[in-house]
Amino acid sequence: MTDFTQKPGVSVWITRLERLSAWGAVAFLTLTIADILFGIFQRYFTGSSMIWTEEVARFALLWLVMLGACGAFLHGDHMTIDFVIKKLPLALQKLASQLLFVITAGILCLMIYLSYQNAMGMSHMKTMALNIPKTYPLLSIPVGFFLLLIAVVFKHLSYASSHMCEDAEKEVSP
Amino acid sequence: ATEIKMAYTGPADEENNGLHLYAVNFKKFVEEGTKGEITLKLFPDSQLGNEEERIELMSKQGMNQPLFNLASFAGVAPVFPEIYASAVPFMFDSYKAAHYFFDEGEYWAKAKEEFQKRSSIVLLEAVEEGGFLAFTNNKKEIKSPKDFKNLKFRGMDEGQVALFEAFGASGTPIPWTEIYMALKTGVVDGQMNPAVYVKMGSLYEVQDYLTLANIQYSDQFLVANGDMWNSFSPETREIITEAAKKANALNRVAMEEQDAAYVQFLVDKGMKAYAPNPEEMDSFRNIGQPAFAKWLSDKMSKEWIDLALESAKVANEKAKE
Amino acid sequence: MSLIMLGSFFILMFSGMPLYLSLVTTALTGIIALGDWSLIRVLAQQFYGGMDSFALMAIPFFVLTGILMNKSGLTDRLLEFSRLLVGSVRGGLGYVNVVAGIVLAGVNGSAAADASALGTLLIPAMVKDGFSPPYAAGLTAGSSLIGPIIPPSVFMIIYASMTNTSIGGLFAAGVLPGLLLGGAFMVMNYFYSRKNNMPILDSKAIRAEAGKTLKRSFSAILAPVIIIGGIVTGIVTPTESGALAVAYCLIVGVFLTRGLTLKGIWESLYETARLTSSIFLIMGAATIIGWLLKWDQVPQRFAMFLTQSGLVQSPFLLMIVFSAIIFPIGMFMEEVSTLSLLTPIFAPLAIKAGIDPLHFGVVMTLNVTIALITPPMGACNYIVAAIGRVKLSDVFIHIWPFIGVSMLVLLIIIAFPPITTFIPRLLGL
Ligand code: NA
Ligand code: NA
Repeated sequence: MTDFTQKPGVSVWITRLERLSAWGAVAFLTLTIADILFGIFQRYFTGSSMIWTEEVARFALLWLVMLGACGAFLHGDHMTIDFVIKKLPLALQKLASQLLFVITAGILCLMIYLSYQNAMGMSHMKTMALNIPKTYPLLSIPVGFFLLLIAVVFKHLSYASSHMCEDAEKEVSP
Repeated sequence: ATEIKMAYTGPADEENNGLHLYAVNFKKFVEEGTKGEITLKLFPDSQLGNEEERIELMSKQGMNQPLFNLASFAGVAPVFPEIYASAVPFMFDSYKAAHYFFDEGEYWAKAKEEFQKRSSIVLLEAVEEGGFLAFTNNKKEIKSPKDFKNLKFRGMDEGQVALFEAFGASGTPIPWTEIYMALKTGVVDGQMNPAVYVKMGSLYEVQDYLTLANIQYSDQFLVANGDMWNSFSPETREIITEAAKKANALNRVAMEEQDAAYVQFLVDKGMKAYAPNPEEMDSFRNIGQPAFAKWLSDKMSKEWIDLALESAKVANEKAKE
Repeated sequence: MSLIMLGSFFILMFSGMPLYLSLVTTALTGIIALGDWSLIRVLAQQFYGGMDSFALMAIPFFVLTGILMNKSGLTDRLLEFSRLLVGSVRGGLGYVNVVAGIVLAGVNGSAAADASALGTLLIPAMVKDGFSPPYAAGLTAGSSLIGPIIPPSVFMIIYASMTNTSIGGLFAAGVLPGLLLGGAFMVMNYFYSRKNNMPILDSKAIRAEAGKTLKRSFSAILAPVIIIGGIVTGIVTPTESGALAVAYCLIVGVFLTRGLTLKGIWESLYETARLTSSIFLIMGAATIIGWLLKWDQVPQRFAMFLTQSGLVQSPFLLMIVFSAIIFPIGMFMEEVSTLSLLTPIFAPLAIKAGIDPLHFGVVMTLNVTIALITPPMGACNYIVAAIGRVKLSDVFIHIWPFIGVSMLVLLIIIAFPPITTFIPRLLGL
């Protein structure tokens, strides 16, 4: 797992959050694999395939993606184009990162709200094969983005505090 | 003038896509009838989303957009699974019977009411979009259910799978874009679709036999956003309802002519066509309908199934007169 | 709306914001520019819709297979085996990549599955063999483009059913262009290997060890046999072959090579989940942009504007113009949408200009296929970046030579129609 050398209080929470994301995502990944393997065996031995295995795989994949988003963020796995920003002066880079934090948090809040509204609004729609409300797969999005939002805020706090510590140290030492 | 978007599936090709033909005529009649007060903008090729997404886009609980849409069973069923009761196999003897069923039948009147209650979307018309579904396969000539034994079929949904299994075949779900290869490589031996799809998907290149068994009437549904509908004046609603019917009348003539032409096209391409005799049709019906009804009974109350079958019976009688 | 979106997208993308978030933010500015706030929930709907796809299901399986093969030591053994085969050829693994791409293309209809399968098997081995990671990733993305050109092909099926062209005929028309594309990448690999002075192994020494190597690498060879063989024989679908490969690597890694511990398995699963997440979030976000462009009919208006200028008479120039229209649209839109939006506009004009429908079908398919690797939006780039653990920025920079070679092949095919029509005519299709 990631090694967090920042402020202990926040980093404990970040570790816990990551563990939640990791366990959830891995559980759904395992389910996806098991489901597809089951589908192969089913077809091989009984000659016909169950239509619901396809739906289970799709929905499990969605939950895996959304729960894994938080872990991917904490590991820096999200794909980013950073060669331009790295050429800017340091002060501008800092300003940009503050600005990006505000936009990111804002967009995530909006997406959490919209996707929650969407999930609840579609409760009267039933999925084709499993015959469950479409809300169940749809809920993966607000839940995943919510975990991601907390991680983004915590990470920002821990950076802010660690930078402050650095500045304070510089003042003390000659 | 108000501009309204109209969404549907398939290419903007009047000759080969019945839905586009319908949309073009509906647009013309609406614009003429309202003297240009309402204009339609056409969005073919599922540009505004797949079946489910388009229903979400126009339902009150969704984005509630002012739209017309041609929805397939896949679009209507998530909200109103009872729609499948109108697709019980071998329920119509003729096109005429199917027309009575959707123009005057009791089931259809109740279906419109219930669908609007659940989604706030207005169900306007059952649009004829192809001929009756037919079986195709590349193993042997199918004349009656017993010829299905040990064949592998593509079953698009559980209802189709139930039908094939009742006949002694197996059913595997395969998406439309993969059918051609699946039939070519022998993953499955056959499938069911109207002749127009057999032509469009080049399936005649990989299928030898065609069985014209009037399996299911192929239709999609003209639906309108509820708030938009309520905002129209009663006269406008009348004009639009008329336009929907007039466009459908044109579609019915065109589809039935085309279906015959498409079957001829397939025969010219080397497919062997067979139309089962009345006894053979009875055996299809006697095995197929109970199996399909059993699948339906998991999705809806028995009343809906009985009502649909009763309406179909009335329609079949009326069509004979 | 499109200009505002374009502007905000480039600013956000280069600001160092994760790509998926820049896309969602761009979509938001698009809705603001449209001035129709009632559409706002489309952000959630299309984001979900873009990720909810069974066609993309193979990606996590191949990512996991790749990680498990690395951890269990199977990649090393596979590399030893490949050295036995092509070690005496400069840049040999590059050719293996292209040939494997052609073999997979002959059975598989989608480039995303090919990129996942090829990347899993070959990028780690190529990197260990001395290829630069961005080149290995780029070549894999390139090889995967052969997939939709050599039959079967999902793109061709879509084109054929929209234009009433024979699918069999179009499939036959794709064979030579697909081989040409593969040949072009091989030539490219030849020059890359010479320029970078890739090592050549002493063939005598390799042969002396042949028996030992074969014995050691047997378990590793079975992985590609399961993946490629399973798909070729039709026993399993590409997606299922990925799941089977995962199961195989787990069993071999735990019991045979013993390279896999419980901790190792956990780490592999978690890493797969993170990489899968990073790919799918982009797919979801990109779908919103595509939807907004369609809602506002941007691609159609753009295409209409250019084609109706009435300047173009010759079939050759017409196809060049069409390609020039598809290229920028393909940079920003998902490929199936691009194909189904532009085919109805272009195909009638092409037929009127006297272009053979099969020839035009291949030209359209190749154009749309190239869009799979044009940045910023191209599924194959994300897949090889994630599987090869190469930074997306690096892929975006190093993919251009491959785009260039593909465009050259496109130009050759446009200029010489018999490349497409020869085989169909021979078969009487
Ligand atoms: Na292919
Ligand atoms: Na692209």
